[in-house]
Amino acid sequence: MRKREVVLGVLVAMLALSSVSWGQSPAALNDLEIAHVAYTVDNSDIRYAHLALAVSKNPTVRAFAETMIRDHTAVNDRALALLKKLKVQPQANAVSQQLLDQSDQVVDQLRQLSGRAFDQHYARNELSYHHAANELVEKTFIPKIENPEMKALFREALAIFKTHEQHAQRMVDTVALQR
Amino acid sequence: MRRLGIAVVTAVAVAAALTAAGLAQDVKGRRHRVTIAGLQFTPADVVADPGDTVEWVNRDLVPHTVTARDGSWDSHGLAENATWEMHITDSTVGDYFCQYHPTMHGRLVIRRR
Repeated sequence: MRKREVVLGVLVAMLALSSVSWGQSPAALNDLEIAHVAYTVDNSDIRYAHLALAVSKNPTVRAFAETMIRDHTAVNDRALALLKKLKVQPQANAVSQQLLDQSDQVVDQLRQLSGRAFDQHYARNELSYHHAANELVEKTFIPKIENPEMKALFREALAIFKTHEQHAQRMVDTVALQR
Repeated sequence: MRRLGIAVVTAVAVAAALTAAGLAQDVKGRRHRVTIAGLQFTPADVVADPGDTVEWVNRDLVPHTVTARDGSWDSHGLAENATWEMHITDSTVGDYFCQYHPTMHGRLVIRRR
């Protein structure tokens, strides 16, 4: 049982955003496609957080998950309000579809874990997921976005998600020390 | 009837005096403002006298809390553009943080005279 959980944990880690080989280059996306990718990334993290609240009894993990739901919902609400103001719709694309497929796999793998194994792998996934998403937003999306209001929102969101990354590192360290 | 009139006048006078005293205290103490933006408390350190008031205003789009490290006081969730204030006493000083984002820290320090 323990060996199975270790194998599943490795699979979850391999599915992190950082290991994705993109079918379509994120650098080739327009503003509305980037908005769709960002919305997908936010919603995937909210999904992982709801799963964590359903499975984990660890207060550190639960507090982090509640923050993810609170913050990513606030960012998504602001993004949707901006799109409404601009009278445009986010555009689905191959990158966001790939992220959705990957999110399904992560959730399937996490669902097979429980207890400490779940906590450890949820924590590691959050760290690698935020790190990869922050890299994508900072180095690819922000330089590429043309609309100034959208660019400003992404900069504001990046500061939030960088803090999440630091918070995730603390969660990884804390969970690793717990028995 | 005359006694009732005196009682009413006395009660009004006492209330006015208390209100005036409260206002005087507010006027006497200084106000300090801490802005929460970019997931930071700015300024991170506030040096204040007992009787001063510190006001926190959240300019981030995500909610935050202002919570004493020892748990003795807590703003609870502050939405975007919400404010919360606290009068400074000897027992309210010390380190504080955001419960939602534990990497955010601040400190209240009593001025030493």
